[in-house]
Amino acid sequence: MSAPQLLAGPDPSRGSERRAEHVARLGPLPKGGHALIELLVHTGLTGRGGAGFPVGLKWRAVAAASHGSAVVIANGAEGEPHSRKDRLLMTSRPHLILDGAMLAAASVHAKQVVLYIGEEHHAAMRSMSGALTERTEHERRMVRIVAAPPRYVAGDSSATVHLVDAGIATPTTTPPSPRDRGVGGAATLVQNVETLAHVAVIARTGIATDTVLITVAGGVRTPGVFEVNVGTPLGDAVQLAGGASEPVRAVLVGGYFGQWVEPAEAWSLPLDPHALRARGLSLGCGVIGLVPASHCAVCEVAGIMRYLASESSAQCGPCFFGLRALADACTRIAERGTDPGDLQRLQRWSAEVQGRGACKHPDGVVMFLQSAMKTFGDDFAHHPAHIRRSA
Amino acid sequence: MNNAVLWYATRGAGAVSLVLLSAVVVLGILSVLRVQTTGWPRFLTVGLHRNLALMTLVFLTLHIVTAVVDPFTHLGWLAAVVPFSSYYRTFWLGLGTIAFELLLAIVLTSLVRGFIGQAAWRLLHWLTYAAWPFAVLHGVGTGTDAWSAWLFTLQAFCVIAVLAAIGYRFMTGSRDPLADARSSFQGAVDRREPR
Amino acid sequence: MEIKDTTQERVQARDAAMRLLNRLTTGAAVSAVAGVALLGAFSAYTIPGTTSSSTASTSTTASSSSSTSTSSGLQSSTTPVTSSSSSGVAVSGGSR
Repeated sequence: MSAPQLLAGPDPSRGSERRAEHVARLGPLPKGGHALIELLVHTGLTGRGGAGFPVGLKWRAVAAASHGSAVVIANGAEGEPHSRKDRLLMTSRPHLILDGAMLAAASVHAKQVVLYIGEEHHAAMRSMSGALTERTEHERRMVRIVAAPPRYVAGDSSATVHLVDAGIATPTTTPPSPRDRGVGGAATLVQNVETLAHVAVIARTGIATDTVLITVAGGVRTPGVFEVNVGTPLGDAVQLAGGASEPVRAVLVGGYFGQWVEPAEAWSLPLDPHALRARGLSLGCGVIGLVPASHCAVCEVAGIMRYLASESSAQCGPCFFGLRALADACTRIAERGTDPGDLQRLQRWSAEVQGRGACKHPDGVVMFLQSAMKTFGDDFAHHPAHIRRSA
Repeated sequence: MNNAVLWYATRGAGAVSLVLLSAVVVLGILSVLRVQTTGWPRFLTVGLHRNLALMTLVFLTLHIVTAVVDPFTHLGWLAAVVPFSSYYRTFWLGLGTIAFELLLAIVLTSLVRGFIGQAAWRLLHWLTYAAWPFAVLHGVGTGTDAWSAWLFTLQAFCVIAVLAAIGYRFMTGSRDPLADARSSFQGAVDRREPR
Repeated sequence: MEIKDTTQERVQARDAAMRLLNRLTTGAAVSAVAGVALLGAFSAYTIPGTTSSSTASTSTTASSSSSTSTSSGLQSSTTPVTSSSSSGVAVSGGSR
């Protein structure tokens, strides 16, 4: 069994850990700064928001671009529908996140910290603002909470900056990326709340953390968030979630911007960002979804495609029209049965959309679809009509 | 063949063609404006526009064939394809020939849009705005019935409907679905304080 | 992994609209055919086109004969006349 590090301490379901207990358990807040950045580079911590970018390198870049007025955004928007880890951290370990944010602010010379929390995630809001009242005066003056709209792209780094800066949570074109020019033109560090929690532990222990938060969803008996050691086989995480409730057709690794994997291959996959990347997969935001064999894979994929297409911010043609066309073609196959024209269109349009969007949304969707067409190739090629045509 | 029947048929078919063509133009404008309701999606407007356009060609062919075959008018087949080549009402009938050929070109290019490309197709489709007035003028000038109450009313109705649709189009402009979707998404994620 | 699904409704709405399109097209076709008959009949009352030839440009209907089937220039006028008169006299030009 894994030894939790982030979730060590009182039972997370008991609610927000108070400051006193937090300090008693872990010790006082260490100093941030250049030394911490080098430690982060050395430990190789990667971001937990989905992109998996090396944290130390990001902090170095922001610190270099900062002229003493950088901004830190703790990204807890959690727009991925099945992810629950960020909310769990915010409702049970708010001080870990605040510690991480303060360490970041000190290290990149920031004067402002923004807690970016989903506007419908009330428990997380309450917990974080409650924890804020237990911090020092100096810290309280630096921090403010900004509510994020419940949209998929609202968690994109440039969208967080855009909302904080101008009040509209749509992604913006990069370059310039937030770490060069973000809120108010200043260098901005956008970091997932789980990543900040890891930093808070690393700063105290001086060594890398070796756990990761995984949300197991779909066809399992007790879906939920589990902290597992890095490298734990995926099958073990599924067992923590009570095991599969019915035979599994496929596993989605990494949420909606992840990849589909056959069960036989999936069970032994190590839940390690680096190892997965070496296999062409990605841990993403840590969502592992099980699709039961009783569900039609094509219909599942079509439903997810429709959702992702509807979450386009409609700022560029390739995303808005392309994803809609792809989703419609998937839906046609799902409802009316396989048509060779639609299969060709899926291939053609995927290739046309890729790389042409103004942000990363269409690319993520296309990779999801391409993975689906590879894993469910037979299902897509021989799908019968599910809806009876009216005469 | 009873010549009188051909004569009546050509006039009847001509009037019906004008009504159909006017409906086609109005539907074309409505498709550009992307009007739709829950019970009437956009593809219905476009579909009806196409179906009626093909139907117009059918009745137009009937109109032309009955006119040419009818010995009363002494039109040759040439008059049906070469404008201003008839002895009968040379100018006004010629307008009709031009209108017919424009419509033929528009319908044929629509059928092979995949081959000629979207841009060429759009350019040719603008010719509709030439074809329709030529057809109306042909009806007014050639038609023996132009000042008969029934045809006059019909023509007036068609002209008013098309002019109203054109006026409406230039007042509202064609909406870009991307712009609509963009502003509705922005509205959903806009968190600025209202002033 | 299901997202709330309204496919059934959308498919039914689309099918309903397709049926409406077919009905409207059929209706238009039937109306058009009826229209040719009806308007043809109207036109018969206004300008019958069966009286003998006359080039008089009176305001009442007058048209050349069309009862015989010979096309050997039975028409009266030999010069082409443009439709300057509003009475709708149908005069043909020279025979072919």
